[in-house]
This record gives sequence, C-alpha cells and structure tokens, in this order.
Amino acid sequence: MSTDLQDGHGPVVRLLARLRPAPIRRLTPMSGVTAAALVLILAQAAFRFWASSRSWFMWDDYIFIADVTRGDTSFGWLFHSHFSLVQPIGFAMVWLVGQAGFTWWVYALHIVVLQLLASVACWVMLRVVFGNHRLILLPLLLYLLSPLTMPGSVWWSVAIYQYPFHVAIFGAITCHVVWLRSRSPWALGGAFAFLALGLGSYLKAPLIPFVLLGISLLWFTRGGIAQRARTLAGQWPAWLGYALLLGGYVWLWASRQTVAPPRQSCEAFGVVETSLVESVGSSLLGGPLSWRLWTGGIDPLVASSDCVPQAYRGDPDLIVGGAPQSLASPPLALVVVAVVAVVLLVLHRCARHHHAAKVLAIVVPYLLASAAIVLLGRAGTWGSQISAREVRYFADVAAIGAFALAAALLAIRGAPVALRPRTSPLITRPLTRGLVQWLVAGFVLFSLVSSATYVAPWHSTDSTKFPERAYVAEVRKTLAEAGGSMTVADVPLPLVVANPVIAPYNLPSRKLAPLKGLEAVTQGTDLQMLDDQGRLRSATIPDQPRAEPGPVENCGYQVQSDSTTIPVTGVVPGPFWVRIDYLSSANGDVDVQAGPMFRRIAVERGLHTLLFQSSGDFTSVELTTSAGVTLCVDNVHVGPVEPVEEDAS
Amino acid sequence: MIVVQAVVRGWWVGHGWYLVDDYLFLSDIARGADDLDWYLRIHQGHFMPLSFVLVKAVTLFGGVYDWSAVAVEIVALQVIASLTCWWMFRTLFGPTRAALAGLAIYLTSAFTMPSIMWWAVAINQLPHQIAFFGAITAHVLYARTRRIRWVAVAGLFLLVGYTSYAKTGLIVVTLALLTLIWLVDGAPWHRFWDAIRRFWLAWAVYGTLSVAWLVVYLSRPSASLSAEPGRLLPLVQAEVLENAVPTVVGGPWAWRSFAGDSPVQFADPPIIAVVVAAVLLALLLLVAWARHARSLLVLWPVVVYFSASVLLVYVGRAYTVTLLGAENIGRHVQYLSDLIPLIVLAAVALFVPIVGVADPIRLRPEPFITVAPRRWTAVALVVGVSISGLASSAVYAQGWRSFGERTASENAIAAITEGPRHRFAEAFVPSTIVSPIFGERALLSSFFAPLGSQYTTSTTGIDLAMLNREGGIEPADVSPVESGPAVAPLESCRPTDEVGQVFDLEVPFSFGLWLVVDYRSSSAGALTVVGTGEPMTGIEAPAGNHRLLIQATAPGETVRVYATGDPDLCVNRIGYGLVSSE
Repeated sequence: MSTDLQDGHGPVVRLLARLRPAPIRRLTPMSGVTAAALVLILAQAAFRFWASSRSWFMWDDYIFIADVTRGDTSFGWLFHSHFSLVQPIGFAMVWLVGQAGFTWWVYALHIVVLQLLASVACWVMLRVVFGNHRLILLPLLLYLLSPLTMPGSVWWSVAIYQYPFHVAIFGAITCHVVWLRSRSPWALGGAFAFLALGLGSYLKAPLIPFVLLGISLLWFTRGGIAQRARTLAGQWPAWLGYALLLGGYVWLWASRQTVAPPRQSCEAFGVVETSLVESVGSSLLGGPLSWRLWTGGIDPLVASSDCVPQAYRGDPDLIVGGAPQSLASPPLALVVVAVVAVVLLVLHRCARHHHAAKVLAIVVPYLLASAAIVLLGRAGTWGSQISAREVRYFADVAAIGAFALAAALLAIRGAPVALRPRTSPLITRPLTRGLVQWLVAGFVLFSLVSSATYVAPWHSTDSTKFPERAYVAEVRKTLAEAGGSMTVADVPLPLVVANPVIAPYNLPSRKLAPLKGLEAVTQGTDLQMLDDQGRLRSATIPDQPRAEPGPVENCGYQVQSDSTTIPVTGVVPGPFWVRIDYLSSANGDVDVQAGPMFRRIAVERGLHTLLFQSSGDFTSVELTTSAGVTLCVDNVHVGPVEPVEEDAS
Repeated sequence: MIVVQAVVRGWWVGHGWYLVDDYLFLSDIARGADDLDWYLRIHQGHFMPLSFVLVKAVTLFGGVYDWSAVAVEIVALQVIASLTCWWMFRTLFGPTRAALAGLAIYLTSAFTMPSIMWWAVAINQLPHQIAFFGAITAHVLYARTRRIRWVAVAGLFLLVGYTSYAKTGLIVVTLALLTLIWLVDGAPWHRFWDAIRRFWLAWAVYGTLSVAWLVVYLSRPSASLSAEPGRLLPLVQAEVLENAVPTVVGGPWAWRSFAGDSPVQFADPPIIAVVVAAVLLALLLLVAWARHARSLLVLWPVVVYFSASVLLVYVGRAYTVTLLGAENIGRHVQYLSDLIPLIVLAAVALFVPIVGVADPIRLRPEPFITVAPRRWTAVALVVGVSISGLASSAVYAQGWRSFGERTASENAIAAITEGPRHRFAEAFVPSTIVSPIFGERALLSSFFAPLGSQYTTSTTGIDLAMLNREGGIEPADVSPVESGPAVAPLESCRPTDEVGQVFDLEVPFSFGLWLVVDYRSSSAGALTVVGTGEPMTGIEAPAGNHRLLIQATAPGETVRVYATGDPDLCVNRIGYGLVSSE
C-alpha cells in the first residue's frame, strides 16, 4: 500500500475531529488538523512542564536574580552585554520574574508560558503560510519534539532568549509572507515588531532578515536575475525597515562589547563537523539519544590536541560547575542513519516535486552561520568538543527546520513559485505510508528518549550531579536551623557551586542574595562562613602570623585610643582577608588602617577574633580603639578565609 | 593497471620492514625449530603451514634479514592475487568496462594495505585473496561447463586458503550463497534442492576440505580468552561505520597508530567523511535497486561474511579487544582486508549481470528511477574512489617507512654484525624492539638468532654487553628494581683471596635478578661466587678494572667471592639489580 503525502486525512485526524463536543463544533469550526495541532501543543506543554517544574536554577540564573534582588537593575542594565549577549527583552523578563527570588515554580511557569507562546507561534506560522493542511502537523511535530530546544525547558537563562527568539522567527516569517501577499501595512509592522523582538532577545536574530530575504527571493520572485532584482526592489519598505532595525542592533551590540572572546581558527573544522553532523545531524532523527555531562572530564582528544581551548590552558581545576548541563554525544550509527535518511528523503522529494529543494538555500547557510557564530563566540574558549555539542546553541535550528520541512512538503500559499508534483517523476515510487509512519514513530520515540535523558540530571538533587541545587538546599536548611537569620563572611563559594569566572557573583552576597535572613559581610567579630557543603562554620585564616610577637608581656600589642602600628610582612593586593585575635576590655570600636584601606569595626569585650577583607598592598596595620577600650592583639594573619572543621554549629 | 599496482606497491613494500611476528618466524627457523609440528601449529588463531613455507622460502633464497627478498615475495603474491582477481572479473562479467572498474577498486583499495606492508599478514591474507578469486571463478566455470576439472581447481584454491588463513571457510559459505542467488533459479526451496542436486560434487569436495581443515584445526592446541558481551555493539559499529564504509569508497584517509609511532595503524576517518561515504553507498544501492531486479541479493553474502568476520574478531581477538577497546579494534582494517575481494565482486554485480548463469540480475522494464546514470558519472566515481584509495594507501605506507621499532632493530642488527663478535648478557631484547610478553622468544639469544654466528649470550661473564633502547651496544650493568637505589660503589675496595670475602647484600623483590661485581686486579686470575644459586666457579678474571655479571637463580643475602690464582684483587662494587645497558 502506498500513498503520496498529500492524500486525504488520516485516521487520527478524523478521530480527533469526531471527538470534539457538539457545542464546540457549533461555536468554532475547528478542523481535525487544528484539533490535532492543539492536542500536540498541549501534550508537548505538559511534557515540558514536567521537565521545567522539577528543574532548578543554574549558573547565569543566579547572576540575573542577584541583580534583581540587590536592586542593581536600571534602564541601562537592560542593555548590558552578558557574555556577548545583548538581550533587553530577556532582561526585562528577568526584572519582572526575578522578583520571585528562589521560588522555582514561578520560573517554571514562566518557561512553560514562553514555550506555549512559541509552539502556538509555530502553528500559526505553518497554518498561515502553508494553509491548514494536515501535513503541517509534521513540521509542528518536529519543532515541538526536537531535543535541540530542551535546554530552554530546564534552564531559565536559556528560556528567556530562546523562546522569544523562536516566536520572533515564526512571527516574522508569518507577517513577511502575509505582507508579500497583501501588502498590508499591519503585516509589515508586525514583521518589524517580531524582528525587533528577536533582536532584543538573541544574538542570532540578525539572521532573520536573511531568512526573509530568502523567502522573497525563492518563492516570491521568478525569471532572470534582473527580473528577480526588480521584484525584490519592489519590496523596499520591508528591506528598509529590516536594515534600519538590523543596523540599530549592530550598533547597540558593538557598543556594549568590552572584551572579544578568544578565537582559534584551528577549531573551525571541529566546530563545523561536530555541530552540523553530530549535534544537528543526529537531531534530525530525534537524537542524540546519549549525552555526556559537561563536567564529565576533559576530552582526551582535546587534551592531546594541538588546538587546546583557552579554558584548558590555565588551571584545569577551574573547569568545574556547569553540571547538570549535558553535551550531545550521539552514537555514530544514529548520526549516519539520520543523515542518510534525510538525504534520501530530500532526493526523493526533489525527484517527485518541483521546487522542493529550494528551502535548502535558506537552511544550509543558516546552519553554516550558526556554526560560525559558535566558532567565533565560544569555541576558542571551550573548544569545539564542548561548544559544538551544546544543543542550546542550535535550538533555533528546530524553528527554521519546521519552516524548511513545511516548505519541502507544501506550497507557500499565495506565492508565485509553488511546490508542485512533477508530471514525470524521476523516481516513480512514492514513499509508502508504512515507511512514513515508521520514520515519524522513530523520530517521536528517539526525541522523547533524548529529551528525558537530557532532563534527568536537572531533576537530580544529588550534590555530584547538580551541585548548585544541592548546595543552596543545604544553605536553606542551615538558615532555617539558625532561626532564619545568619551572618557569614562574604568569601567565594566552592568552585563546583560558583566558578570564579563569574566573580563577584561567586560570593554569597550575590549568589545567595534572594535568601532572606542571610547577610554576607566583609568584616566583623567571630565571623562564620559557609563551608563546602553549605553548613555554617567558624571562619578563620590558618596562615602563619605576619607580625613579630608584640612587645607587651601577657598582651602582645596593646591598642588604645592612640594608634598602634603592627608591622607585617608585605601583603600584595589580592582577594585576602585579615585575622586579628584580640582580648578587649570593653565593647567598642576599633579603627583599622591597612595601606589605603580604612575600616571601623565593632569589637566585643573578652577574647575574640576580628576578620575583615583587605584591599591594596600594605606593610603594617594601624589600630586605634574608641575611648575606654583597650585591646591586646596577639598577632596578624593574612590569607584566604577557611572554615574551622571541628567547630560545628 | 596490475603492472602499475605492482610497481606502486613494490615501492611501498620495498621501503617497509619486519615487525614482531616476522622476527619470531625468522628466529624460529634460524634456531632450527621449524620441524613439522612448527608448520602445523596454530599461530595467532591461524592454521597456516603454507604461510610458514613462504617464510622458509625467503630464508632459503634470501640473505640474513634480507628485506628485499621479503618484498619480492610479497609483490609476487600481490601480482598473483591481482591476476586472479582479473581472471574472476573477466570470467564472471566478460571483458567489460565494469570488470575493469572492479579490478581498479581492488587494486587501489587501502583495505589490503596491511596485507602487503606486514609480512606476517601478507603470508596469510594474499594466499586467502588468491583462494577467493580462484575458487569463485572455478566454481562459476563449473556451473557453466559442468566440467569436473573446475571443481578440482576450486578445491585447490580452497586448499591454498585453508593452509594459510583461518577465514577460508567463509569462501565456501560465499560459494554456497552465490550458487543460490545466481547459479540456480526458481522458488527458494527449488533453488535449495537444485543447488544440492546439481552441485553435489562441488559440495562434496569443498565439504571434505572444510571438515579436514576443521579436524586439524581443532586438534591443534590454541589459547583463547572469553569475550565480554558489552563490547560487541561498539565493535560492530566501529567495524561497519569507521572501518568498512569509508574504506570501501576510497578511505579511510586518516590513520592513527595503535601505540606511539607503531606502523600498525587503525582507520581514523573524520565523522563527516563517514557520513559522506555512507550517503554515497546508500545512493549506489538505491540506484542499483531502482534499476535492476535482484541486484541487492548479492548483499547477503557480504552481510554474512562481514558478520562472521566481526564475530571472529570478537571471539578470536578478545584479548586485544579488552586491551585496546572495541572502538579501536573495530577500526583495524587488517581484520577486514580479506573482505575486499567479495566487496568488489558485489559492487560490480550490483549493476552488471554475470554471464552464463541461471538467474542473473535484470534491468527492470520500468525502472523506479527514470534517469539513467550517465557513463561519465560511473567513470568519475570509479576513478575518484581509486585515486582516493591510493591516497589512503600512501598515507598508510608512510607509517612503515620510519618507526621506532624499525630504527632500533636496524641499529641492533648493524651493531651486532659490525665489529668483533660480541658477548651479551642473556636478557630480553629492549622493549623498543619487541615486547617481553613473548617470553623466551624475546631473549637476545633467540630473537636475533639469524645473526647467530656473530654474537653469543651468557648468563655469567666478565664485561658482558647489552643492547640499549636505541639498538646500540653498551657494557651491561644492573639497574635498580622499581626505582629503588642503584648499586653503589663500596666505601673502599675490599680485597679478596682464596679464603673469600663475604658481602651482606639487600635482595630486592623481583624476578630475574642479576649480581654485579666490579673488581680491580693487578694480574689475571679466577673468581668463584657462592650465594646466588648454583656456585659459579673458575670465572676467568682478567687484570684491570672489570665487571662480572651473574644471573642469580636464587639470590641470597650473603654472597661470598673467592679469588684464586693469587691475583691482587679487590671488589669495589657489588649488588643485585636488573640487567641493563649502562
């Protein structure tokens, strides 16, 4: 039994159409295709909600939320560059949603709403551009199930740029095509608005105008080069508007960049091969099926390669954090089968239909541009074996892929150049229904497996799989045990919890800013700190003393209201703290002058320890007490602050 | 094309050199160990008396370590294989361009590079390839002519295969499958019975040979290791996708040495090349299927042969799979080299009918693809695959021109043959030449046995020599065990005489310890050493500063050294260690 794909409705569609309650049928003339599309969208939303609801904050999320919680936001903040990304739309959402602190369900809801908007936008694009044909369900399925978009469902920082960008792609294509058909100013305005949405969301949005140009050129012009150029020129309002928006974005983006990411041309082949063949290639059949945790260790091939990424040239111990991110690691068999299947399907389609391959003129350059952006923006730092396996960098390929698949299956309505069957097909045999069903079933199954396995580490509360989540949970527990209030030294959190690359967001004052009752300070008496497990510990500086013993017997250095100078071995500028053990005659203050730094710190009667963060270089510490207070200072210690293990709170 | 191939491959082989097994074969023969049992033994899973005869032939007609004689033999075998390949194509398909295409792909494929560059592999696989081409051709000629002599010829070729390589049984399986596909017709059951009825004589001959081989094979002792189930799938994936698929279309383009700069290389194609090769193969199969009925049937013997090959590697090479990983072993082209005769046969048979058989492939009256491939497309494809295969082969051959083992071995042979007759400590040849896992065959007395008259080895002696890691000759000494302290000079030179001098020594925990005794003497005498196992008496001790080395079979903590002949002799260094060059 065989059939062409455009033959009548299938049993599922007919069943769905029949299932609609009569009152709804009367109110809304919903076709089976529409019902099926909505069912698919809702089913996907349910699946993605499962993925989102059990996830947790990671890396950039803490940075954004810290800015909001600490009030470090402003209108200008919306336009700042975050690791080369200028995303005012995303930051506007951060400003709104980030008020929720560490209340994850708010973020999960936000993600799912964004996902729903993108899914609906995809469906609208397919329906408006290609008509309400049952075949639009295939590209819709491709978009809804593609594992390339999974990072956005579990990682809020990705969701805030990924989904708006997808909405922008779908919306811009829809409005552009509608404008080409009708020349309605509303449609053109819509295209401008969606392009602006994309530009305000993601770095790859400048590719959208080129996609739109491709649509105009391939389906809305015909004839020779001159004739096509004249037709395109007739669409000048669109090009002018797109160019202005694009130019504005380029100016804004360039003006916000302070540091160019490192680049290595030796990564070029690896990026193209890995991203296009392995990451995107395997996803064509629902892959990659298997993932490798980002923290799974340095790739031995990278370690032995001449082309060593920048990140590995320093201290490899810094390559921590980032769990539970996973990198695509598809079996070679899947990659080969996926690519061979797609090539054969494309050839088959082209052999039986005119204009079926045109869309490749959009897809191939888009893919190459995507790989080039990874090469220029990330591969120099992390290497192709990490950067090109990060599927979030190719999530938009699912959106472009949905349009491409639809354009290969269906004609664009109202376009002068239409997909149509060849009168004498080059391949006489149509695809069998069984083969199509097997392919779709395989894609669905593999996609679900790939998606679920990607999500699994994000749902983990295990400290090795998701250290940030486990750490914050432990800190919350500690805070609760401390009666909802505690003060800790503002010293860097463990490497696996907060990489120093993101300093100062690796400090409790930033990373844990949403925790009410937690105060992180840079000076104080008998300070405590969070240890590697998130528990409260006394803070100390175990380094050897920096000063000679004091001159006063049974006291050391006696400090009173006239200043006492304690010479210390020279301290260079750095992330150091100073510890002074003292015996005080009364409560009061002590003024500390160490090099250019001055601090007034409260002291307490009795034997205590003073800790404060230093700045600049110094060779002596000058102490002065408030009136009536006498301090006996034992010595001065300088170095990194560490928890006292024995002193469990 | 055959002549050009002989010249090109002759050039590559001429610049090659011996590796591991090659030395062991030569040394066995030089030591006179090549009795009948030696020829009939199982070596690395292969029953290969004919191969050993080929080794013997080189030792009879060539000089000592005469690589040019080896190269001539390999090239001669290759030429015979190429000629039988051409015989097969010409017989099966007639004198057509398609036959030339198949021959071109065979002649240029990198699949067979391990079977020419490594002598120990060449003597297995080239006879096997000859057997494949000859047996297929003779079998088809028997089907056409019904002359019994062709069964005999096929049997002779199978005999060549069975006495050189373990996979010859797969040729018989291939013959059976090709008979069912092409040489009989009708419904499946009819084909089956017809194949038995019409070819019973052939099956009787092939079967007798196969059973005889199996009986001999199973009666020979052989070692094996059980395979781990989890390694099968990665092995299959690597064998199919990273090994067979790219190499069939002219790959694998890139190779990776299995360790260091070893000339044994695994296919290491870029993933994008694997994908492109797979797409190309898929298109070829699609076109063959779309335009010819029954064309894909020829894939059955390929699949069966390939599957059996993978299983044989999985079971027969379990230790290397465990040691090096299934992903690496699966890329070892050598394990699929014998597949290329069947692959080139299948490649041509996909598009061209075999002449004079009962049920050849046929052009479909209404092809599923209406566009006939242009002739230039096929020509370009064959030329491209051939040139690409040559390029891959050249890269592989380059790895054999210079490698550490070769350099060290050539240095050692040159050093031993030049100058006076050296006296070596009987120890392992440096691991830069051969691994000590070969046991006694890696000992100096055995390994370089072909140079036997030019050196001696001893377990006790004064001023013995050793080969260093570069293959040079140096005075022998002992090195510390497990990075322990080296044997240090004594604080003062301790005199000894006929009463003897007692030395309390520390005995490191290790096998194969040697005792070193450095002495100074004003006149010649003799030494006796007690405490290292068998007492060593009457060791000639020349005057001057010298070093005595004794292999300690039972190293004791108290060693007594006697000096006789009244020399003025004192010991200034004594201790245990592992014998090595200074």
